[in-house]
Amino acid sequence: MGRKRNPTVFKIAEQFTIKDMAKYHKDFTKAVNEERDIVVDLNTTETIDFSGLQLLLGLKKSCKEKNLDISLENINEGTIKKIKLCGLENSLLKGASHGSI
Amino acid sequence: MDQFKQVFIEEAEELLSSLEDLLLNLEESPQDHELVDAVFRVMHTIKGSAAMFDFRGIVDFTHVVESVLDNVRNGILVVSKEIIDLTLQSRDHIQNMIASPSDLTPELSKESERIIKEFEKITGKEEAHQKENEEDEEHEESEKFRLYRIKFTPDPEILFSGTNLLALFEELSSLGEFSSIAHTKNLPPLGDINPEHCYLSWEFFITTTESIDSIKDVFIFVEAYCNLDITIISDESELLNEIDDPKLGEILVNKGIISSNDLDGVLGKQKPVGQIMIDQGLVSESDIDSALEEQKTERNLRQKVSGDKDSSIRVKSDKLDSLVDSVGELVTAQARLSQISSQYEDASLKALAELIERLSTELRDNAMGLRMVPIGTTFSRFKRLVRDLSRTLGKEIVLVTSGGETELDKSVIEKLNDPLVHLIRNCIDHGIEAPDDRLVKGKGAEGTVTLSAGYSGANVVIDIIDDGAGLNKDRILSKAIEKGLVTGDESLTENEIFKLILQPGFSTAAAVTDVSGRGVGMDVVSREIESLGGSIFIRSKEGEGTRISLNLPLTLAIIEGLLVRNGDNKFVVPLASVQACLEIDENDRELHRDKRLFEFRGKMLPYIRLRELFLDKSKLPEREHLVVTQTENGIFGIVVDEVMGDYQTVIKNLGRLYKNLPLITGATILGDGTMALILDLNKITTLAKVETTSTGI
Repeated sequence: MGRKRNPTVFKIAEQFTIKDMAKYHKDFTKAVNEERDIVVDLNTTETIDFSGLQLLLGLKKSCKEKNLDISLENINEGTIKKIKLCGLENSLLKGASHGSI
Repeated sequence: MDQFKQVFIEEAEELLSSLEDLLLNLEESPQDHELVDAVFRVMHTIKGSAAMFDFRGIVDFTHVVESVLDNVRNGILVVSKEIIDLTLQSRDHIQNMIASPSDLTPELSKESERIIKEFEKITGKEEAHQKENEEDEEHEESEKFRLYRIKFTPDPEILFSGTNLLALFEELSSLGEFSSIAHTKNLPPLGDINPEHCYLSWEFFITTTESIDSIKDVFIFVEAYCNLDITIISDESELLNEIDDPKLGEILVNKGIISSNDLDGVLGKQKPVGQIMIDQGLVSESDIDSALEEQKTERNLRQKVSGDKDSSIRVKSDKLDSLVDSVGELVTAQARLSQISSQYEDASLKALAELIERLSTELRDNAMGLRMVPIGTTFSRFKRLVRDLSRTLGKEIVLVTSGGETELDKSVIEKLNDPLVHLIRNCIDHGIEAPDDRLVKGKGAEGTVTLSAGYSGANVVIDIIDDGAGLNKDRILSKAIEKGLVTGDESLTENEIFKLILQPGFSTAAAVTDVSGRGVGMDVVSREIESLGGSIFIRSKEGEGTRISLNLPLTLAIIEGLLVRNGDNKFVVPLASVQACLEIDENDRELHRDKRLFEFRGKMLPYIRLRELFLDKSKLPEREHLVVTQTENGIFGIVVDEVMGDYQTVIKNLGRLYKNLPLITGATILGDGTMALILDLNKITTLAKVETTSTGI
C-alpha cells in the first residue's frame, strides 16, 4: 500500500480522432521514452475513432514492454462499446476505470 | 390443475405486458413487418394456451383479433391508429378476462361483443366471418441460424480511402449476435506507429439468420482494400445433431493452424492445451483467443437453437430470497473459517479455506445474479402511461428510453415502479407545456420525456428528463418560506432549493388536476428512494427542462467492501467506490494541517478524518491511510488508521432503533464475530462539503 510517484496525466480532448493523432503520438512517445508512468484521462472524450483506439493499444503495449504503469481512466459507455466492437476489451479495458469524475 | 391455470395466468400477463410495448412500437413504425409478426404471435400464443384449458370466452375473442392481425400480416389491411387503439383495448380486455378465465361476467362478454363489432367496422363483416371459419394454421416458419467466421485483414493504407472501420463493424454487428477478436501481433512499437495506418486484423463471429451475401454486402466498399474470408462454421441442423461442444484442438486443426499430429503430441501433457500450443510456438495467444471465442459462440448458438424452451425456469421469488439469505450466512461462516485458518500454520487448512472462499464467492455472484433483472421491463410499462396521459391532457409527448439493459436487484426494481410513475406524471402534467405554449417559446410542439439508466460505480443512476418549462427557483423558494419550510436567511444551493419540492405538502402548481398538483407524491417519492438506500439529485433550467436523477444501490444484500480500522472500530467502505489507497505519514500531516486537502494525481483532493467524524479519541497512529473514493459529491478522501483489505460484506439492517442513524447504511458480521459498520459515503461527503463551506475552507 505504498505511495506512488505522480504519473504523466494526458487529458484527452473531446475529439480523439485521426486528424489529431500525430500530436498525441508524439506526446505519448516522448513520455514512454522518458520512462514515465502514464494516466490517460478520457473524461471529456466524446468521439474516438479506430486510429485513436489503435494508438492507445500501441501505448499500452509499449508501456508493458518497458514495465511502466499505465491506466486509462473515465472511459465512457460509447468508447467502451467501440473497444468491444474492435475486440480490444482484453487489451484496453483490463484495469481501466469507467464512469466520470 | 389450479397450479397449471396459475401458470397460464402468469404467462398470459407477461405476454400482454410485451404486447403493449410491441403495439406502441408498431404505432411508431407501422411498416415494421417484424413487429406485426410479433404482435400476431403473442395473440396466437394466448389463444393456444387458453384453448388448452377450454377458456372459450378468451379463445373466441382472441381468434377474432388474431384474424385481423393476420390480415395485416398478409397486407390486406394496413396498420392504422384505429387498429392499434382497438388492439390495445383488446389487450386490456384480455387482461380483465384472465382474472377469472373460466367464468366471464356478463359485462366482460358485452365488452367482447363491443370490441369485435368495432373491429368488424374496420375489416368488413364478411372478411371477419370468413376468417373465423378457417382452420388454424401454423404460421411460424423458423428461420435457420448459422454461425459465420469472418477473417478480415485490411491493407495498412485502408484509412486513406476514408473507410470508417468502426462504422463497418457496427453495421456487421447489427446482423446478429456478434463477437470480435483483434489480432495485434503486427502492431509495431509506439515510436514506429504511423497513426494513419491500420496494423490490426480481425476474426468476427456472427450468429444470424442472414445469408452469406448479406454479410458480403457489408464489405462491398472495402473489398479492394482488404482480404476477406467468410466461412459458415455450422448451421442449426448440424448443431442439433452434435452432442458435444467442438474441442479447441479440433477447431485449430480445422482452421489449418496445426496438424492432427501436433494435436496428438500435446494432448498427453497436463497443461491446458491452448497454453501448451502457445509455449511450443505453434499458435499465438490471439489464435487461442479466437478459437475459444468460436467455441463459446458455437455453444451459445446450440443453446439458442435447441434449448430455448429449457433455458429458463419459473421460480417463486421467496425461494430466491431464501437462497440469498443462506448464501449470506455461508459467506459469513467462510470469513470466519479464513480468519481461523490464518492463525494456524497448516497448509492444507489454508488451501481448504481458500477453496471455500473461491467457491462461496462464485456461489454469491450466481445467487445475486439470479435476483438481478433488467430495468427495461419497468421502463416499457411507462410508454402506455405517457401515451394515455398526454392524450388526456391534450399534449404531444414522446417517451425516449435508454439503458434498459441495466440490471438492478429485483427488490429494488419492485419498489421503484411507484416513484417513477409519480415522477413521470409530474413531468407530463407540470413539466411539458401545451403544444401552443411550446410553439410560442420557439420549441417543437412535441415534448420529450427521457428515461435512462446506467451504472455509476456500485450504483445505478436513473434519470427522468423532460424538455419542458423547468423549475422556477424563486417561486419554489417563496412558497417554501410561505409554508415555513425555510426562513429565507439560509444560503441554499440550487439543488437544495429544488429539493424543497420533495417536502411533504409542497406544490407550486397553480391548479390541482386529476393527475398531480396536490403535493402528495414527491415526498413519497423521496421517502421511497431513501428507503432503498438511494438519493435524489435535481437539476433544472427555467424554460429548458428538468433532470431528476435517482442514485440507487445495485443490490441490498451483499457487496464487495474494503475493510478499514479506526481505533478499535472497524468500518466497511463499498469497494466499487474506492479509487485508490495512499499512506499519510507525519510529514504529510504537517504539510496539509488544517487544509483538509491532499494532492492526488495533480489535483487537490478534499478529505475527512473518520476519527473526527466519530469522535474517536484513541491514539493517532504513526501512519494513516487515505482511501480515495468516488461519490455523488465528486472524489473525496476518507482518512482511517488502517486499510485491512477487501471483504465480502453481507449487509444486515441495523434494526428499528438505529435505522435512521446518519452516515451509516448498515452493518456486517466479521469473521471473528465482531461487527463493522458500513459507511454511507454520499452522506459523509455531503457533511464534509457543508463543513468545508461553513468554515470557509
